[in-house]
Amino acid sequence: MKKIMKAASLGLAGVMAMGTAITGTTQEAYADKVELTLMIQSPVDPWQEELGNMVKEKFPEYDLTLKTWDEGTAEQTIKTAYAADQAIDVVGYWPTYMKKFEGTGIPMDLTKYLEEDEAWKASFGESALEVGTTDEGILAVPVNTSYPLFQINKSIFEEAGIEIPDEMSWDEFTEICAKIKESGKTPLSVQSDWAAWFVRNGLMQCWKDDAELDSFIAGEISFKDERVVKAIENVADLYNNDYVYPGGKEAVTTSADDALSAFVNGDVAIYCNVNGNSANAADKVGDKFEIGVVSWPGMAENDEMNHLLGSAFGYMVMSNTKYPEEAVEVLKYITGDEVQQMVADKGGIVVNQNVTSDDVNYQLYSKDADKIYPDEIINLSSEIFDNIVYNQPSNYLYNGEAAIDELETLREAAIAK
Amino acid sequence: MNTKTKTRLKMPYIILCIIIIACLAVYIFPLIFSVVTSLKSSEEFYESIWALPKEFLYSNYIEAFQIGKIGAYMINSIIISAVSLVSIQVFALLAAYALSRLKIPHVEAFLLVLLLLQVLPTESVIIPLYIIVSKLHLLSVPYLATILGYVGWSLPGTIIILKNYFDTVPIDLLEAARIDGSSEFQTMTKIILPLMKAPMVTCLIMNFTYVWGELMWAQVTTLLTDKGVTITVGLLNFQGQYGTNWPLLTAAIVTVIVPLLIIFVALQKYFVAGLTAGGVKG
Amino acid sequence: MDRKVKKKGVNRKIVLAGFLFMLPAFLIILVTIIIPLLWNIYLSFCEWKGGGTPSFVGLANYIQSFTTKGTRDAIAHSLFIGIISTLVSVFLGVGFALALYRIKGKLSGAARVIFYSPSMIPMTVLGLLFTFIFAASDKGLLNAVLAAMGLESLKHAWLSDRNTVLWVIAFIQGWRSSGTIMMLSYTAMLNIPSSLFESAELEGCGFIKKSRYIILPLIKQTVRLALSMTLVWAFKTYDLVWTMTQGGPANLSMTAPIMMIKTGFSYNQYGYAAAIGIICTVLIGLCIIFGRSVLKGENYEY
Repeated sequence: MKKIMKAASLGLAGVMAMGTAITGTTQEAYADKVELTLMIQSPVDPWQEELGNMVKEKFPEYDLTLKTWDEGTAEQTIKTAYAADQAIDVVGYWPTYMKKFEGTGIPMDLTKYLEEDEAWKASFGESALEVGTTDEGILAVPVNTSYPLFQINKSIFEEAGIEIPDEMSWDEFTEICAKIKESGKTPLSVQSDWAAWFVRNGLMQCWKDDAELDSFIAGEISFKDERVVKAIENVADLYNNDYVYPGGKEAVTTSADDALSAFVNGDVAIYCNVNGNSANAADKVGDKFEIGVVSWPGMAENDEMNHLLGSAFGYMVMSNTKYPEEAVEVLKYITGDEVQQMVADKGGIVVNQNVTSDDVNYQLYSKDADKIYPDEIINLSSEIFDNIVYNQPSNYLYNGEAAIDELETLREAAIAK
Repeated sequence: MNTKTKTRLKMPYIILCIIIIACLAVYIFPLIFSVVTSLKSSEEFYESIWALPKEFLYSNYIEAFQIGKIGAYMINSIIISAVSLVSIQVFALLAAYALSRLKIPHVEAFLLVLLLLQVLPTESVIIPLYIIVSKLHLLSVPYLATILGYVGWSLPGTIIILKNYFDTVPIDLLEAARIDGSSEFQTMTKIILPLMKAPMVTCLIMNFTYVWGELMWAQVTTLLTDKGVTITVGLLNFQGQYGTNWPLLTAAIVTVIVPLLIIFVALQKYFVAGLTAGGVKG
Repeated sequence: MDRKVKKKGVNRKIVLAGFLFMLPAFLIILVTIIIPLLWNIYLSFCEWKGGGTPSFVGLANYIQSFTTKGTRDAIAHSLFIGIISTLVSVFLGVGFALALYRIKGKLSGAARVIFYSPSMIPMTVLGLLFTFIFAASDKGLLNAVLAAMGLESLKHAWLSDRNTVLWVIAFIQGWRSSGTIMMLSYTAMLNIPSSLFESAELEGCGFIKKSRYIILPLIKQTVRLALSMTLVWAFKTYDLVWTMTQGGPANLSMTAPIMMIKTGFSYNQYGYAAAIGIICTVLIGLCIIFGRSVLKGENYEY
């Protein structure tokens, strides 16, 4: 009996408390303060705390709620919020992946704000804004560019007697892999979700000029074209020749920590990494060996076609925001010179043209930025995106030609729309 | 009883103990792994996943406490758990008793439906429920929407389990009470509950584990606010775009699990055999 | 035995009390589960992109589910994981419960806590741990142990091999929920009055005989219940699979919940995702009905 009484009184107290809370908050709603929710801080980034502080200082008149941005749940939370007509006013997302919101109407078109503020628009440089542009407008703006590169263990190269190149063609690359393998070490390690970079880059580099590439990206060239198949096969060969840690086609499932750990321990010669994460990996290696940075190998015969896939992280505004003007103001501030200089000083690689940095690493990790090509075949449809970004080269390694057929079906479905 | 003390030393008993201890080693491994990792530095961790830490970096715990905002969030988690658990227990008890002994028609079909209601993955239920709570303006009240979800999703399971245990109480007992003029409520509290300590504690532990560790709903309901954020959401602060800070994350996790373990250990006294036996005699 | 006193008034009072007792629970379940379920059923016949209004498409989503190999495979994988892991966790859970019932004392208490602990540890850490245990390289703990024991030939790429990946996932899920089954079974055993053991002890029965003839039959009801509930939970396995393999490689370990999230959130096809969810619900329902009729037994009161 006592237990029930306790439970009942707790319940009653709870209901009473909530009653007071409800009446309390409805009164609050009559205040005029601009309330903004910002999900712009990504954990582990060295500048994220300062970013929050700067925004709060700059806009004391706004009622700001700062939420942590999480990669794993970002898409779900944005779409769930929109479904219930709630808005995260400024939220981080990759401008290059705006395709994922196609047809949903979720990101707000920023074109008119950019046209109005020439200085702001110019700070992004000539082509950076293209990445966030779709048929529906400029849906997001970039703040940093990421692209893939190789971090190499110089000692292994030296011991195997290999000259460290600045750039490599695909053939040079496979030769180097063979030599490293002979010397007893594993040539390269790449984590499962980054293996697709090989395929994505290959699919841009196998054409004779940009016109053909653009045609492919528009879905006009079949996946069964021998150039496409050759590119994919080249990647598959890396696995079939046991060049990828820990060997065999099973290497497609290597976890991020496993891949990094192999590099840190000196078991592999080349570690595939994002430029933005290179400083972090170098940290983990510490003094164990010297690290070099080499550009991604190019499959193209014509060096101009050695494009690079690039992603950019950036911010968007949700279209159902109650305060569009204020949200854009905050957006302008966090992409503006003051904040972006702070980011660069803390090691971030930024897009903003007005930011300078003397840091040696800064140069090193942004030198390939102009090789980035603004569009890829993966943007043709979300199914193709998913297939290539998450399931290649594993699909091809496990299912062979059936994987190519699958891509071809998806392409036909995409252009039929 | 003399026979019992003799059997304690027999071979089969000892072998059984050894087997159990071996199994325990397997089960406790994740906990040990978490603690060991939490005392390492990041570089050490990547050097060797399995090795023991060179120094015991207790500072990881302090750092984790700050980054994960564990202090503030812990209070939220405690409040949400406490209210949820009490509500679940009370509502489930009432419903389970009704299903077990109060002549509800078509009980079997009802139970099957309850069971099936749990099949839909949480992810597909979150959007509609979130739309409902936001339309009802419940989101502005801290904790309410979160608790509502947890109570609703735990009720079917708890009701089914409690009903199952209620069924084992002989109906004669209840009939006798009814004839004596006791109301249903009194019958439930005075006769059934004392016999149901262990099952109720089991449900309490199972629900506590669920509520304490749930992430998606907690994140969604606190999307636009700073209030009522739980520690599971705080754990996200250790996972960056390019990898997780494992030593700090495991330190935070150990901090988060410890209350669970303490409560579980404290509740073990309800699991001694013989406490509930003998309720039938006489 | 005296039959119940048949007073119509008393019976009606009892039934009324029954409905009143169920009311609060029913109301909350209505809002949090039933309405979302109805919403999903409605949505499964529509196309919806997450914004705007859904448009009715009839059975198109269902037809697509049955004709798409990927979806069929995902549902089959979930069924496999559900059934295997349920068997594993019931086997382990009941086994441990029996052992702990026998052992009693402090060891038993400590063991209960430790056996239950896997379900308390967040999946992120378990995922990290198991990825390294089952890693294909020689650094993987399992492979290293096998090599040390001289069983080199048994080394596998556990998480990438078509033949092993689903089994590994099912075993881990079973391991993880065995603690819950153990607690449920153990609690049921506690409810067995010691009087029932008196005659067995007078005859000098050992624990094994006691288990077979007294304990197991009496907890059969609870075990049956645990089986059904575990099947439902195991079928829903999402976080485990996502953390370890993300449904890969090449969709070898794709499960229904992951597929639902992908089609919903990544492809913006919420109607199709809802249809998959409804199909799964119906399938599990059939499994449970089938299972219960197979395991029919008497309900015991004591």
